[in-house]
Amino acid sequence: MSSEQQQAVDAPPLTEEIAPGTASDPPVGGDAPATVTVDGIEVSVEAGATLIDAVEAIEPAESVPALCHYGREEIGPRSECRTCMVETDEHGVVPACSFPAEDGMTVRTDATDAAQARDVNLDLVLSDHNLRCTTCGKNGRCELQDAAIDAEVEEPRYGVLDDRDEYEPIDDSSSFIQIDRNKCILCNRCVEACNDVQVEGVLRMEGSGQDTRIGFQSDAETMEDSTCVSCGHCATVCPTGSLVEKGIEDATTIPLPGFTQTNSVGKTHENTGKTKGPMTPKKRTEDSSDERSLTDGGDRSAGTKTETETSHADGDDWGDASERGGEWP
Amino acid sequence: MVTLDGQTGFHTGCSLERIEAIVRAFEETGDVTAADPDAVVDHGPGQTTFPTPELSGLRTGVREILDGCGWRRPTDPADHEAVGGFVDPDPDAVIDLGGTLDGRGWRDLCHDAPLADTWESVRSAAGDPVVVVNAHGNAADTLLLESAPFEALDGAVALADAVGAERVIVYASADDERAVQTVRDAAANYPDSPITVDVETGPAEYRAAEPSMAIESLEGNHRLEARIRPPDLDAVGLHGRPTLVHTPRTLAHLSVALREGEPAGTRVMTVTGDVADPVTVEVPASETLETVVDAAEMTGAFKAASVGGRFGGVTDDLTVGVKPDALAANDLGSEGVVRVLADDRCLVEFVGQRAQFAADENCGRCVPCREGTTQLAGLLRDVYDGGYDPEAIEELIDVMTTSSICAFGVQAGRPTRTALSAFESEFEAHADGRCPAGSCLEPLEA
Ligand code: SF4
Ligand code: SF4
Ligand code: SF4
Ligand code: FES
Repeated sequence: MSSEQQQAVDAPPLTEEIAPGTASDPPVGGDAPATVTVDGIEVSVEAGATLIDAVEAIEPAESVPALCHYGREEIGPRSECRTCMVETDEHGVVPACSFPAEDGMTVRTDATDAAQARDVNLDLVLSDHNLRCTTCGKNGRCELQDAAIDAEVEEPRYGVLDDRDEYEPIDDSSSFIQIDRNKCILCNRCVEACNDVQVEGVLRMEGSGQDTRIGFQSDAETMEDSTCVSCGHCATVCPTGSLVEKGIEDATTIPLPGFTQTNSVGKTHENTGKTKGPMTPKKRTEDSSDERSLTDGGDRSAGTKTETETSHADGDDWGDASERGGEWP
Repeated sequence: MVTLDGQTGFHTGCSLERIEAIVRAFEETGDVTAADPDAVVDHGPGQTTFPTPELSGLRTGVREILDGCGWRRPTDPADHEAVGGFVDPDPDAVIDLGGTLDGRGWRDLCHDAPLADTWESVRSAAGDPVVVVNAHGNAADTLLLESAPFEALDGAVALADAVGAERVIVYASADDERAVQTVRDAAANYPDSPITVDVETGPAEYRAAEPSMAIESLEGNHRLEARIRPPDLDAVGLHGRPTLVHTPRTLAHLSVALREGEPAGTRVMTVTGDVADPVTVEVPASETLETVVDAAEMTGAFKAASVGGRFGGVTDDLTVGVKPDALAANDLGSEGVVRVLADDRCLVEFVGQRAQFAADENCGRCVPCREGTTQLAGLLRDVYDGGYDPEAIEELIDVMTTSSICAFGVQAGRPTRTALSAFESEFEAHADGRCPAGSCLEPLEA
């Protein structure tokens, strides 16, 4: 075990109060400096490196979007978008952003399975994205847009999120930062910037499946009601137009009269005009700290059986529980 | 079951009233056969193993791992000791046996892999190791905790001792109340040991059984999502410690191997679905799926089996062996659960429901699973509108399988993938507006 890992083991959690809703990932990265071969080119990387460091050091045979990878400020790897898959002789197809660079590894970016995985996964990201770049505050400086252009996406396999009924309202309630969750790729950078870098404990990941979203540890519904201190770090790290500093949310949009970022979605949480109180963040309500029988940070009380959907966990097996599949068709 | 002096009467499918009548008849006569049992077995007094009657569900296979179930008192250590349990093995002997055993079920950190290397690495790792018994969500594992908890605990304690762990944690679904209570009682009655055994529960959700989510749950996280790996839990697990996660089945195999001196070489399997009663049986690893399926009484003519749990593979070929490599060669799962489907079942509907379940229940972390399962369910719905595109479905499932973070997403496409190859004509019929089983298109048109 490396000393870095050892430290992670012994160090107490940063603050007991912060509950970002994400898993405690292990430290990733190679134990020692390593030389790996990427697309036939030898690359040397330092201890602690992952394969993406080697891929980024050269001109790879094929484009590797690595959309959720950040690689600075100890943010990530979240390793969720899977648009960084590469093939290795040693371990098959692996995510470059979180796979340790081990000495002697052979990596290919142009292997069929890996290239297909990057392609399909990028399309899957777009399938859940409100791709209205023309009214988006990140138009022209967006990592998703860049990735789609680099990968020469013409028509995403699964379309894009264009059913207006499915849009989440834009959270325009704060005077500093606007949230458009319809453009969020769930890279978790903002949550880590907020919790691990700024140690503010405002943002969290919440929900599961298609309901997964960024939210607030205080259970607040809007940015205005959250404990946000308006440091803006989240907007700085956000790769897309999901978190944008107010004032520039329309900066790069094509000036069509009357067509703006907020009315592109149509539903908005507006500022209520309440003055913001002094910044004494109360991280969470008391009872939300021990919800052992919940997984989604809901409001049912600790330790008791959840009243709904209790029985479908029991794998496939006995009685009524076994019959439960999803709703069909 | 009524037993006295080496004779046991078996009554099946009893209502509460029937049980009362049986007890009354026995009290009046002192005769175990008084209430006309379905089967009677004569055996010596002091019998320590289950006296198997010739009854459906019970006569199939062998009883090495399930031996104590239904016979030995679950929470009485004396009964376990009487069969030679609680051996105090040499750590090296435990690790050596680990080379002959493999992990049982996808909820096991060493699913289908030999155990010795992982045990060795945990033993030599820095930090205090922990042994987690993952009993979340599998019927056979729940059965072991309810009926023979000492088999799992004995194996876990021996393993903890061998790798230098001071703590065993049993993790089960909050819904499996009886299993949780029984294993708690058994742990409280466990003979003196320097190793502490705790029992914890996690949410009754399918994904909560995934090993890294089990660890997240034990750490008290209010939201469960999978961890990225490597390094895996054996290096950095519960609170960063080297952690072993094994199912009760895996540990029961260890427990039995320790007292018998060699591995049992059997597979514990559950048959469910279109059957009169689900059964859990144990068969020699040389057997086929047919033997397992025959243990249960089907409620209709056999059409297909979904082999390997919720996201198992669908097949109509029961000549496949039950060994993991034989199952894997046929793209079937080795979770130990076989769901049989009668001939009025529609396969397109069945795999559609599995895909929708995956879309509803995934943790939401990774794109191939979170978005992939949603698109998969959509592509399967398109079949009903004539938009059957097998290449698109296969491409999507390939990517979910190669790039998902955890076993949930890796397996989620398997029902569809296998049904596409074994029941292709059903998909084509649906694209033509016809459901051969007659079960899912009418309601749509109505
Ligand atoms: S975030 Fe904005 S600029 Fe980026 S791809 Fe989405 S709509 Fe386009
Ligand atoms: S809001 Fe931006 S930084 Fe935060 S998870 Fe979404 S895309 Fe990532
Ligand atoms: S495969 Fe599914 S359940 Fe597993 S991490 Fe990804 S989204 Fe979560
Ligand atoms: S960059 Fe590797 S998974 Fe997103």
